[in-house]
Amino acid sequence: MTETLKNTGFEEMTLNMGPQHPSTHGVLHLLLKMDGEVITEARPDIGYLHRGMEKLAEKRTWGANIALSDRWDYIASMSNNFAAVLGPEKLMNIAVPKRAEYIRIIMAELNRIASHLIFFGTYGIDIGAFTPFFYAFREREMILDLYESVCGARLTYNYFRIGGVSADLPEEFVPGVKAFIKYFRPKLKEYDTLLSTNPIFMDRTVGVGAISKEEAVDWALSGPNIRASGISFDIRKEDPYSVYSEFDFNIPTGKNGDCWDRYMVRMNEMSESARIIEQALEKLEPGDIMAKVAKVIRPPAGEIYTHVEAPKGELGVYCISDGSTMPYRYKVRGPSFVNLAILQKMLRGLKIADVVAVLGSIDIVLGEVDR
Amino acid sequence: MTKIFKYTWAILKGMGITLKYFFIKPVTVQYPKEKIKISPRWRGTLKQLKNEKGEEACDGCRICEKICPVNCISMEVYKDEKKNRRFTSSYTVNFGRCMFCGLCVEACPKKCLVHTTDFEFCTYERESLILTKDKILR
Ligand code: SF4
Ligand code: SF4
Repeated sequence: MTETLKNTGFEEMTLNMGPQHPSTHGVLHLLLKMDGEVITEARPDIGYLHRGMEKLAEKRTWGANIALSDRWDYIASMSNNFAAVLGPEKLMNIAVPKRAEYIRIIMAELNRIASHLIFFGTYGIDIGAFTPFFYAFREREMILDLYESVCGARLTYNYFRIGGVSADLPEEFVPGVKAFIKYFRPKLKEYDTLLSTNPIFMDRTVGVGAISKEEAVDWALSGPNIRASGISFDIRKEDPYSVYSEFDFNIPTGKNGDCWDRYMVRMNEMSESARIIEQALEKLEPGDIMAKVAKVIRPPAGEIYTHVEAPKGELGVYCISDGSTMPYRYKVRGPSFVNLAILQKMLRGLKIADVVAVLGSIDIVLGEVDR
Repeated sequence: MTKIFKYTWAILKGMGITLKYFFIKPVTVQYPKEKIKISPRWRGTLKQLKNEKGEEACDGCRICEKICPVNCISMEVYKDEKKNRRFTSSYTVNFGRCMFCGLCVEACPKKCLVHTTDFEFCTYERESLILTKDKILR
């Protein structure tokens, strides 16, 4: 801010962005201090969607907590389910049947595609391209139809159970997934034409909001955000849970960590997920879908931290059991919450027009930020 | 100048894709007139089944009441000495609270509590979301 401006009364302006702004992906409130068009300070203000999930969890049985976990990141509920079941399963030493493991992985990876499709669609809108949104949601709808045929819900699946999954796949599911993958592959190329290589889109995203490797580690980013900065960190490879170690897949990484890299990492991840699904479908064999578990679940006293690679990053659950039917403490490490923190650093010095581009590129879901 | 050309070309390419879809059948469903096919596993409102004798199959074991994470089922149970089994004298589900998680249906030992594929139950008052036994036992 120059002295002249200060003297003439043009001082820093505080701008409230949100919580009802269409591009804040929910109810995020950004407090921006601006010097003309340039942002000098940005502070995300969260909590508008706070439901006290962690406290609620302490008064719910372990099984009911899976139903609650659907509501953390409501566009990737299968991954939440995954995180919610791993902890008690490890505490109780339950060996999940092979078929259930593969079903879980198919579900989680389909959910990754669905979540990234939402990102692709809404990011297009944020930047100003409306068309991708329709195509992304058309494809996502197919995934939701598949989910509906399996578990009877389109958003809050509540499909995983401690020891397996709640229902076996219906007959039409496997051909349905195969048809979807076949249909989906060429669509990715179409998306590239529509958005990824569009020069207008690239002008607005390449070089904007770059995160260096060190910064990404310092701010504990995870998921596509850290991979875009060139660090190949993926829990499916680093600390394989379930049967992920059996699958052959690559981890797409970016170079500069700018908005375009973050976008591209997600686009590439979709085809990798499709590869995992294809492999899992091949390995799928008839068998049990539930391990033998007692009706009333009482994990032995102890504490455990389990994490999964959710579409947004590392989703971890730290739970303490006191041997009763309900968890003593249930801490959720939401990737969106952690990834959101770097916004205050990234936005400083950018123009107001780039706020939406940067915010969209870190792909947050407010249900998980506030919990 | 070349920039303008590049941008226009990109837009035209995008338009080309849009144009391709212009000629195929729309994927949208004109909702109130048409309806999509709901999967038979759909977790809609709850329903109690009758047994083969035509009386209510539920014996008031209260398992569904206990397992519900949001406490939306409530019931009163009495014992019928003549038939030597329990019955519910009232069975109420508050759908204003229900999150359609399906845990109650899964847990019911008599398999008499099921989901319907019904998804249209908007009302003007909250009270009408509280369904009593005469509406649930169908
Ligand atoms: S579906 Fe879930 S929330 Fe609804 S009554 Fe059954 S257990 Fe309760
Ligand atoms: S669990 Fe089934 S049998 Fe038991 S009270 Fe509920 S509806 Fe009746």
